Amino acid sequence: MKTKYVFFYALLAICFFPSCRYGLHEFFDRSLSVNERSKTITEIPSPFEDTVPNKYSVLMLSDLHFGPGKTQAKKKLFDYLESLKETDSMPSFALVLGDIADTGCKEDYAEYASFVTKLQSEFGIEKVYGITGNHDLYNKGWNEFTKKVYPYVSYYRFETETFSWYFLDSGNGTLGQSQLQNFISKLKKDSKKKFVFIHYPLYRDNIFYFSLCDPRERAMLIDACAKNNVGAVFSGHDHYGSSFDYGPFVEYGVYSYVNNRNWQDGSFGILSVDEENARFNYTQY
Amino acid sequence: MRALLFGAKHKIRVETVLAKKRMLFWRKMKNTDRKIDIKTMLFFLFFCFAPALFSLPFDQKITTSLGSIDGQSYTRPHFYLSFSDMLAYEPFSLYLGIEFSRDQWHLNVEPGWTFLKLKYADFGLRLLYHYTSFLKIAQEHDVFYGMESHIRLPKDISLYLDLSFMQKYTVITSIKESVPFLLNNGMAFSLRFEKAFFENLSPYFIIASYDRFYYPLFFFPSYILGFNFKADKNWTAFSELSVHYTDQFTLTATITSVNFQLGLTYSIPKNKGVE
Repeated sequence: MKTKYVFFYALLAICFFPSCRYGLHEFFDRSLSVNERSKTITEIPSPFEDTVPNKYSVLMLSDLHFGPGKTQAKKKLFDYLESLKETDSMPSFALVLGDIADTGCKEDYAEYASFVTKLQSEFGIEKVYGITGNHDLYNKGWNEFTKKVYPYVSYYRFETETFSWYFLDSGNGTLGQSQLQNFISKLKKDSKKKFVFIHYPLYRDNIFYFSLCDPRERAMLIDACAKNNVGAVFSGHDHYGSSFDYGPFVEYGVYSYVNNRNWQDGSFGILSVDEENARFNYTQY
Repeated sequence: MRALLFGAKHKIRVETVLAKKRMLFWRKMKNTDRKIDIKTMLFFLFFCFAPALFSLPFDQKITTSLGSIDGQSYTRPHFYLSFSDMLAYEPFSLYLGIEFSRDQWHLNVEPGWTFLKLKYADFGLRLLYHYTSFLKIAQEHDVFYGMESHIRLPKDISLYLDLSFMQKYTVITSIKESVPFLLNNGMAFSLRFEKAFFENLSPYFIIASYDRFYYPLFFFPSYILGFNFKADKNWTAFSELSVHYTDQFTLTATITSVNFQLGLTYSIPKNKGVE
């Protein structure tokens, strides 16, 4: 009988141990859900202080998973940026589509902060914008997110000459009632061409499990994007950057910075923007 | 003190403005709602209940329930009304169900075949088709192909388990010309424990990846607690509380909706219609 109990508890420990650092005690109730975090959109200044260049590029990153023993991925990205140093092609700013921290702890965000400092000091990429992913919220990670990840909110927008850039908070696997309603209302009032950035994929061609699971919320989002001049949606989360053409707009998956296979890949994307002709092009590296 | 009062007033004002905006949003959405016309409603009611009107050689259970749902997701609080008819002609069964609410309506058709009956367990095959129309934005067609089992454990405990391959076809009107439908292949399961405590009362608990008229992609779990009360040989009353969560595999779960319903089931033995 005793052996049975020992076996049972050992099995339980094996199942739960790997998840402990992800805050398993919050399994049924995570504090500060999306309806409390992200109700109305925050307008933030454009990354360009003076005039917006006609053509520029943006560094796209997703699923960095900073944390002890995790992300070692630096070389590929930094080699690429190094090669651009004496050219005009250096990205003007960077976007990070969630899962910045692996466990949501202070140390993870500290690693991210030093990564951002390196982008700023060595490559002149002054602004690095982030949104929440599911990992960023573990262990009450939202508190650290609001201290370390610019612009310290996860539902916001800014404008450049031709485009509006919308950043959504999908860290809980849903946008929540307030954010969804507010986002659709904002899209309708905005006549500019738009980019939307979200951690959870909308659909991206039948991803099993790693997409927005509520099909009605997804339908409302796709419908709103299709009707309101959205050019592209960029998402992360599944680590494999597939894309899908919905007709009126395209969804691009931004490949994970860490790569599931070796945690060392350092993948990234470059979004080239042509403000004059309202065109863009996305390339994955 | 004045600053505090100003803060409180300001907060109330902001919240009132937000509430008004929300109301306006839903009013606008409502203008685009698919109105459920009375003919459609009557057709599906007839579809469900017609068998009960006749004296047929199978057992039937007709159920009606009224529920209320409160949500944190896209769902706004609303009431719904559902009707169903469960026809059993051993070893075959057929479930027909409909649900109406303000924004949408659902239809369920679920044939089953219990191919193996043992002393402690039954095993069967099931198909399920679910249709819903959501605002004017989208229609969903869910198809399940799977197995179900009923295991009778000691101490009057019953365990019902079903496991299915799930296909969801979503037709979104605004992209229909370019993408006729979005297809999601996934899976679905439901695990139900039921124990008869007294002769008339049997509580049950369900953990499932779907609910009777709620079909998210895998894995948005539903936790359901319910009570069946058998008033006499024909009438059974039930109440059910279900909590729907988001994505619990990646551990960022949050409650998307809470659902409470009360219902009544009338059993009709074979070769008898509604009297």
